Amino acid sequence: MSSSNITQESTSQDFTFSPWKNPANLKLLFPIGAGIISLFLLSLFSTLFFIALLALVLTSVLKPMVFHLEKEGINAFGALVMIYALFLLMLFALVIFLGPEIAAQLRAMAQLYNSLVQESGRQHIAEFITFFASKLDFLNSPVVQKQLVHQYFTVFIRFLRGGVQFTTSILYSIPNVLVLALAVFLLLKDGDRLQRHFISTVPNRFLEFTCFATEHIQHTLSAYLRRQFYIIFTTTVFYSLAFYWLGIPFSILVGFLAGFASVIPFFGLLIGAVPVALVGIYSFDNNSILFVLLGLFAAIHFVQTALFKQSSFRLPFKLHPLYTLVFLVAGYAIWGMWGVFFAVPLAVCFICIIKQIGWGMQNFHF
Amino acid sequence: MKKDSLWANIFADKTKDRNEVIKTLKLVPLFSQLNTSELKEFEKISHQRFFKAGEPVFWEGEPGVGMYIVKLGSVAVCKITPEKGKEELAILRQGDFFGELALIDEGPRSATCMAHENAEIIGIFRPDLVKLLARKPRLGNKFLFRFATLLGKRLIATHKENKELRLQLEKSNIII
Repeated sequence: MSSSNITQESTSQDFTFSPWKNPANLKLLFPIGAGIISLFLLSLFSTLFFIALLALVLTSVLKPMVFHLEKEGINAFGALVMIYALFLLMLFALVIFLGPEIAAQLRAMAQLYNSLVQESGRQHIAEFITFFASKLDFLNSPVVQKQLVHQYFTVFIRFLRGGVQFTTSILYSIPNVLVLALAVFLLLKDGDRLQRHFISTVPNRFLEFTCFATEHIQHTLSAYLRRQFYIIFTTTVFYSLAFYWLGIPFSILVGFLAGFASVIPFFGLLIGAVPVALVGIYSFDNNSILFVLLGLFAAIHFVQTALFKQSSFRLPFKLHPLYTLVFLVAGYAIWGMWGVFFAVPLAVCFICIIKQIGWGMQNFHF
Repeated sequence: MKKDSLWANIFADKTKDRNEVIKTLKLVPLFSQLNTSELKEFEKISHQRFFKAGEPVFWEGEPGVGMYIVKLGSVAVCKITPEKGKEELAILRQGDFFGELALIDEGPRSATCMAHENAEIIGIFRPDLVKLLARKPRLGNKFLFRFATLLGKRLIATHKENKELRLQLEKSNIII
């Protein structure tokens, strides 16, 4: 086979991975089908999906620490055990020290929710609207005021129910902490091996591209998830401490909600601020708390922006605001409040994969 | 041996082959100075693939992602042009390696490589190597130093060839 007249085009056709040209390649449809079925099953078991996502986030945070220890000369398994022990210790401390406080706050929140649903919420809104009516003439009609109270009360109750459901759904997952801990350990220990197993199922023609693309996607997503985790963690701590210091009830729960919401583009501040403002007004009976909270939110937002604008925390690529908005709305339409939280990470994942496939199609002879 | 490369790669017995991979790596000058535990680190990032005769490993012009070592069988390095068609430049056999420049540079492949006969090939790719070098800087230094030494030797040989060629051309009065 020294020299033949096969051109690149004709030879490449023999190995193009097309089920239409080569029916034997249809067998690749089995793993693809299995992948689609797993995704479908995963959507049915949302708790599993939540644990898997959380495990991925925690792995992306802990892995650089394991690498750092390895760099210092500690062997891979030793470094893994050390970091994992530290992680378990923190998890244990969190459950032991914050667990009872969170449970107490949740009980109090449930009581408040009940009392608000039974008319006292309507009364507060009515007082609030009367206050504004004294400043704005067009609100001085009892019919308009009654209609506004009714509408705002409905929105308020829906919002409050959403907040309580969201917080409790996170707390439901606490019994799954053991599964989460195990998943994190396995991902830390065997994540690379799992990736290699995945790559071994890819046909030869896609090998180089898959190696390059999976590494790139993994790097981008890890950096993104790590950044989101750090933002949520620091802002939750800031908000909780500040609310505790101001004497706002449910400081940990609303602090967590505000911290979690801070990663949502555009609406994050609003989603985080509204429940805090409501709780503040309800417990202080003084609207001036709103100004204090406004200042607090502005200050924490400023600190957060300053902390995470450094290049090491910056996103690997910029998502256009219009796309972000579309993904947020689509996320909300499909999965409700959870969809808002996961819309942008999923969009980043989706765009990252599409970009890599586009790059591969341009540069490789598939 | 009529074997399907897709299924052969999915269901390859990886555990049995590990020692064989280490043995093959030892044959490669790039890894010859590494000890067994260091070679194990490279074995962990390597990908063993089975290629059917005539199946391309990579095409000329594709972005370089990594290097390959021939474990079994043989691989042809070729140039494909519309005028001459496929022209084989070299046949690589067990222990030979190719595409090593892609470990440090993403530039396009300079030639096409395809399995000359059914072949088992070990691939080591840049992203995995970069990660390994970041985790094990000492091993990284050792490997990169060896890599640079080999590149240096190759550069000297090329320079020498270039010089001899120039001398010949001068003697034949083609260049003055």
